[in-house]
Amino acid sequence: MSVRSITRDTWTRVFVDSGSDFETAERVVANRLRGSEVDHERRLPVTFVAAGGGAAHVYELTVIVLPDQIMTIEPGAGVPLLQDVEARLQWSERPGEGPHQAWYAIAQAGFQAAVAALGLMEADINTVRAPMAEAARAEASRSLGVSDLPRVNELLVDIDHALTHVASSIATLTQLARLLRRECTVPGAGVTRPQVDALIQQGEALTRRVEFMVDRHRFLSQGVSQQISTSDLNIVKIFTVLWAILIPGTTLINWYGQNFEVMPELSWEYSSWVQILGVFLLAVIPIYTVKRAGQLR
Amino acid sequence: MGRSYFESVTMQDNTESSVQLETNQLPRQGWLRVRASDQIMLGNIHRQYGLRLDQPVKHAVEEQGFVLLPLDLPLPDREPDAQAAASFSSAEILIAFTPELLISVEPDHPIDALRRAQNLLARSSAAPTSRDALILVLEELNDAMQETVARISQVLTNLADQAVDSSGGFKMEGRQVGVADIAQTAVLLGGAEELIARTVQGQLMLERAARWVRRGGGEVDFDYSTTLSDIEGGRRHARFQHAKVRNIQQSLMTTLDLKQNQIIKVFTVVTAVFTPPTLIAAYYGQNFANMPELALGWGEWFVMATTALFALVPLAYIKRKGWLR
Repeated sequence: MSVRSITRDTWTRVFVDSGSDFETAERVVANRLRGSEVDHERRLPVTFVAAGGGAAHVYELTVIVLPDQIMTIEPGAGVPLLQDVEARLQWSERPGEGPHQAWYAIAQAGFQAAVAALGLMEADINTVRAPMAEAARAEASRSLGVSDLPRVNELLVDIDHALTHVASSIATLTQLARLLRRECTVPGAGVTRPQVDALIQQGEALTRRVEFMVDRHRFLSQGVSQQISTSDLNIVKIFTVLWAILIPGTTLINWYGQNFEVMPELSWEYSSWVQILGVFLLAVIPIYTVKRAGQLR
Repeated sequence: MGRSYFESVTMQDNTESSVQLETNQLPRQGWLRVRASDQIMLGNIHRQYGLRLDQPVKHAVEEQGFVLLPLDLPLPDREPDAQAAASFSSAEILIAFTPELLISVEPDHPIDALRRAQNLLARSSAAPTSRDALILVLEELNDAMQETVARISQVLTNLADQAVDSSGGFKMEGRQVGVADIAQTAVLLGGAEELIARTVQGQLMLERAARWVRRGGGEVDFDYSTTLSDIEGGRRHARFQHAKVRNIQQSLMTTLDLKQNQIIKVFTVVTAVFTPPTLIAAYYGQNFANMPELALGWGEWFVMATTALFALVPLAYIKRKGWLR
């Protein structure tokens, strides 16, 4: 575990490597809080979703906000995004007195990462349609089954996961920005109210974008399962019709399988050929009718 | 109850220590926190302000110059062990306020948000009006509700995973999922939905409370629009969770439908395929006198082969068409 203070002690980054470090971290935090102000701290679990190398990486950290400082408890060697934020803050020319600049920068970086991750997911969502369209085209010779689209299903499940993380990330970041809006009224904050308002608006816009993508995801997954389900039902329909068509013939045949004493037709010379013809007609006429009515398509 | 009957917060003297007041000296201004089980204190309030707070209030009403605002918020339980599943308990808070005095009737378990608000008020230098204090309380409660929503969101993520696991996605190998397998997930989903509904209701109550404060008019230091927009933002997030529950439920049901359709399909196909052989077999079960094939030496073998052919050729065709998947 390591601790690093940035920008005149207003931002402290605590790096936690393993689960056992949490107790030590708690002690460091308590130490930083100097005991007296424990009641005013706000702990906010924040999720960052960053796109990189064709995948979305999720980082979970805890942000502790105090009137005069902000602490981030990060896993492992720290969240790469926050390294950038740290570098930018250290190079900035007019460091503010409070934690508000770091606070603002963290939320902003989170939103930017979420935008990138959403872009990646949008690209992924766009790839879902292609295999579906292909499967639908191939349907003429071979009907669509569940086993045709496992890849699509996996993709959809993955996108759903990623969207969930992005949605919760945006929600926590917006909450972080909302807290900042309440606190940034103090003089010397280095962050103005319109800036924070803009940040919250960005968060709300992103929320709407995520909602739209969730809608799209739902549309696509419903489309996939509907396509399969329709194909299944069609097969069931065809076979049910065929099966029903053979029933009258079977009935006729079974009729002469009975063992009554007096059944004179049984001993007529051509009766068995007439019987075959009868069965044949009983099958063909309904097939013809049904096919003409278009119920077999 | 060994301690004082109420935790005092008079905004005049910003002390945290409880002040035992005589029954006939309830404060005229400040913030009075009362436990709902504290009948004596409630009786005192009734005697002094003419306000009955021990009866349930369903809607915001005005009574004896006080505005009564009921709040019912599902708040996450503070448990030391994080491994346990998220649990929530309903916090029924009744708020009564005049421009000078704020009374909150609270449940017996301590509510963090209120303690926080009290500390914040204690730290502020100027004496805030009761409405400013109330806005602060509402903000804190809204933050606590955000936590509720965040936890629900986590629960839902787990449930979504569980739904995918229990339904097995589109995979069709091995044991198939049945109605019984998803029953548990469906029950959990129902619970989550109810919780979200109550959260949204709670947020609506908070919003209504904030509007009542604004209706009071007069000079106010705090910015209502910020508070209202914060509450609305939280509600939007809660509604998003509601949509998520619906999505999970729908996908669960669709997968189940899909699998059941598939089973029906396979059995229909199999039944239909075996109908023509049955027809042939039945044909030779007839008792016609003139059926020369019955007397042939290879007759039975021939019919058997035809039957097999009639069964296997359609099966092969169906398999090629992919109708048995």
